[in-house]
Amino acid sequence: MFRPWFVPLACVAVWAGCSSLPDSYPPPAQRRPLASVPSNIPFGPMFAISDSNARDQIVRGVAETGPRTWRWTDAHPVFRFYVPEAPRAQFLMDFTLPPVTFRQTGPVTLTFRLNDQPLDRVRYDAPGELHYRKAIPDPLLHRNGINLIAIDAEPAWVSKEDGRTYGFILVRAGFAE
Amino acid sequence: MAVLAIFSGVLCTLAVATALGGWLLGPSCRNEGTRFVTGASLLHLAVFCLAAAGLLYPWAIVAVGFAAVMFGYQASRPAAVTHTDLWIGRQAVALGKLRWLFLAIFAVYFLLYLSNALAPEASPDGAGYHLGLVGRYLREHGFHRITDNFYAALSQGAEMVYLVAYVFGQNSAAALVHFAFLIALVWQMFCYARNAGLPLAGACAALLVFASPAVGIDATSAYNDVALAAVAFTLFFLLNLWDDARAGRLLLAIGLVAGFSYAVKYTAWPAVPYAIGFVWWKSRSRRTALIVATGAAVMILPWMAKNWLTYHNPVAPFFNHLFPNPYVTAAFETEYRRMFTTYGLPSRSKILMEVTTYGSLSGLLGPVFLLSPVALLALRRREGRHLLLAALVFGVNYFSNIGTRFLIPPLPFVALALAFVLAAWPGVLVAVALVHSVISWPGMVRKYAHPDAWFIRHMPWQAALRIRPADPYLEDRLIYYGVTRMVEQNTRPNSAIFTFTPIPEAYTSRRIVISFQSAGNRVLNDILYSAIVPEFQPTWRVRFTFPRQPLGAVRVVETASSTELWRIHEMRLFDGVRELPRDPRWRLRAQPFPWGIQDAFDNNPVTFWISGEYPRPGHFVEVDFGAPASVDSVTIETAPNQLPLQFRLDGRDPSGQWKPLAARPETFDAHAPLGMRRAAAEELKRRGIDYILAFDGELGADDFQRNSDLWGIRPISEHKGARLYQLP
Repeated sequence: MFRPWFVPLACVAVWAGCSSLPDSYPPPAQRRPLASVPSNIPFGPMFAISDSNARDQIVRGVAETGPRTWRWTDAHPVFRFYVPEAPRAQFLMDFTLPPVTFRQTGPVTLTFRLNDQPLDRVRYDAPGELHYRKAIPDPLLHRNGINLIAIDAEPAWVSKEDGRTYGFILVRAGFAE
Repeated sequence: MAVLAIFSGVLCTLAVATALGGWLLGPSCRNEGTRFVTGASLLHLAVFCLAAAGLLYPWAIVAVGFAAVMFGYQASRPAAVTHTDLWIGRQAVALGKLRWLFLAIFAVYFLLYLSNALAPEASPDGAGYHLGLVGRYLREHGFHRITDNFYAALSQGAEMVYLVAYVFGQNSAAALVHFAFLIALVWQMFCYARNAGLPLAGACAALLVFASPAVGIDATSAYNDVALAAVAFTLFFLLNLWDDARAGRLLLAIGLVAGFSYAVKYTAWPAVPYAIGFVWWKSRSRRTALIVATGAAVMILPWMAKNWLTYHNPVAPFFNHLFPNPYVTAAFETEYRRMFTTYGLPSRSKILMEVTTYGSLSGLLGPVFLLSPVALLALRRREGRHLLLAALVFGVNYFSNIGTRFLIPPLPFVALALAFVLAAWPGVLVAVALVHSVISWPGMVRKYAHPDAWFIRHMPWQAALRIRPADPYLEDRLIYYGVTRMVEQNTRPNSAIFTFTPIPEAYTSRRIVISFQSAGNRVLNDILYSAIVPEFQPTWRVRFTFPRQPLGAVRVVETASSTELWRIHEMRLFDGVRELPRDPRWRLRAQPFPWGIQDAFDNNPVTFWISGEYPRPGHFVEVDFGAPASVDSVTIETAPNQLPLQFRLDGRDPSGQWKPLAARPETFDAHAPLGMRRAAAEELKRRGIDYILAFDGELGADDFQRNSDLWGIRPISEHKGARLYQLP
């Protein structure tokens, strides 16, 4: 039997059923990579000890072995970074001065040099997890090039067990905007 | 002059609507309030058609209005008195000496409301999206696809009526038309009760509604809740009129007004089954029910069609899980609904005191409405049962938004039912009405309502008559008015301004893109965050490794549910150390939210695909290579704002069989590349944004200020902590 009131209902149902989700899309136009590092350079502007390529960023002065996320440095570690084009840059470092060693060394002064030029000198009067951040003066930075950061820790802690010298515990370092 | 223009707009709108109502109802109903509201439904439809046709010009509106007035009054010229006139005529029962008392009280409140409605529009939503959209439709001469503001998807029946007045008198004219709906409402309430033989109850109930603080401020703003209450009561009035007189031409009006309820506000959709059910129950005739249904469909379907064409969802911005679309996500809808069902209240037991007395749910009805349960005693009367059924119909959706405003549509029915009960003790009834009118006066409300309650606080006659200029008045009364003017004065015409905080967009002709008002806006928000907020930066890597093999497609599949949206900034596929270049033959798929998946394959770390729905097992992202390719690892670059990440990787071998490739990925951290700020700003520009408006204290605002050179943005102007930046 024809039921006229079904007609509008059916129309609405059909209308609503016309919904169709897009099935698929092609890849879009590719963007130019941001501030990219040349493919022949295995390191970038920033590294953490946990990174697989951390060894490539370390020139010298960092323990070969240790936990996954941090390593002891000696008194004069040196790191290298590739810094792409950036309007401004700052150097930052996450590190620790352990209370156990701090009790013996007292306040520790870190002297930073960038590309063999003095960058900064900071005295740390308390131990703990610390964060260093410093805006880089334009002339010191090699844009689109390799930059060396050298750090002197004074006084360093000397282990009575093996006689080795320890500067600080490094977690992460590098250049950011 | 401005006041003259405002009143011209209002009077034209009232005249046109009333004429159309007169034409439609003819001699079946001569109640002016009923004619105005019924005619408003037709006027709304006419304006809708003009907007849909791109003919929203002042001359077109004037022409339509003129024709409607001429035609309407011709068609509704007084005829011989019919028995339905007598239905109205029987109302001539005097209130006696109390008439003057009631008239005086109504007059005082009328002046209070008139001054507020006539003053420059200073309500947050009225000066925001209600009139912001009205102004935009008029500037653009009709509807255009507005996909960056989900409020544009709501039905805007009242706003279509306001638009006629807006042409002449702009914002204040719109508010005054809303106020006219209040007058029509209380007049019909009184007439209904007079017909029931209880004129005193009608006057008292009308006063209970008229003096209610929530009703007062809503009706004098360019909102739509009081308009909906008037439409709801008109429907009730027409249904009772039809039940009494069975005049056939009322049926179409009933259908149109029922549909207009939906057109004014979605929450009134039960009006349609109510009207159809009522006439069918009373007549047992499918034909009468069909007439009503047809009338309702005429009002509803245009809005559904508009939404279907614009948003692929006839009931946008709701039910997005049934009608998935790229503009409003199901996840957003879930959050939005949750927010409005609680308003942050610790318990629903607090609602009663908040909506009647304290007002922290955006307004208060008045403490007298704590007596509302007494209205249940009206069930003993036939009229009482009808009233309480209507209250139920128009209040049934209240708990989907517990704001006090959402109780305004059922309020007239509750007030009448309460008054009918109290009519047994006239002294008590009058006392209740008088107490209500005293304690609802602004000076009294201040004494017991919470400081954040929304109610009328002043009688701004100087601003209403434009003796006090609008600018300083609005600077005092409307938050961010000065910011909006700064935007208007310092940006290019037709430009788009992205902001995290809504501003009163009715006072600018610029396109204001507010961070939460669409899925696309939310992405813009997070693109900015991805440059500076660690949780939003693409510093997580999720890598699947498996034996090298030829594959036709790979699919990353969710294996767990989560309440954090899944997002992918980049998805890369490798054959050893070589990344597979994105081949034009590739096809990218994502379910259930396919839109934006290309943003996970564009080599831009600030853009991303986002899942739209909260992840559930089986949701996936797929790359179909088009031709078999050798692959041995897949890496997803994403942000740490989406715990827990639980995926598996499936692959489709050259024979077309899907098989698991890796049950669990390894995850590790990476560093955000330099240049994210600049990339984010450029991406916003690419997506049509010209300026960013940031308020001090907002996440990211200080970074815009300190590092504008890194963003590549240019500070343009500042006003009381709101800073405007031009994108590169």
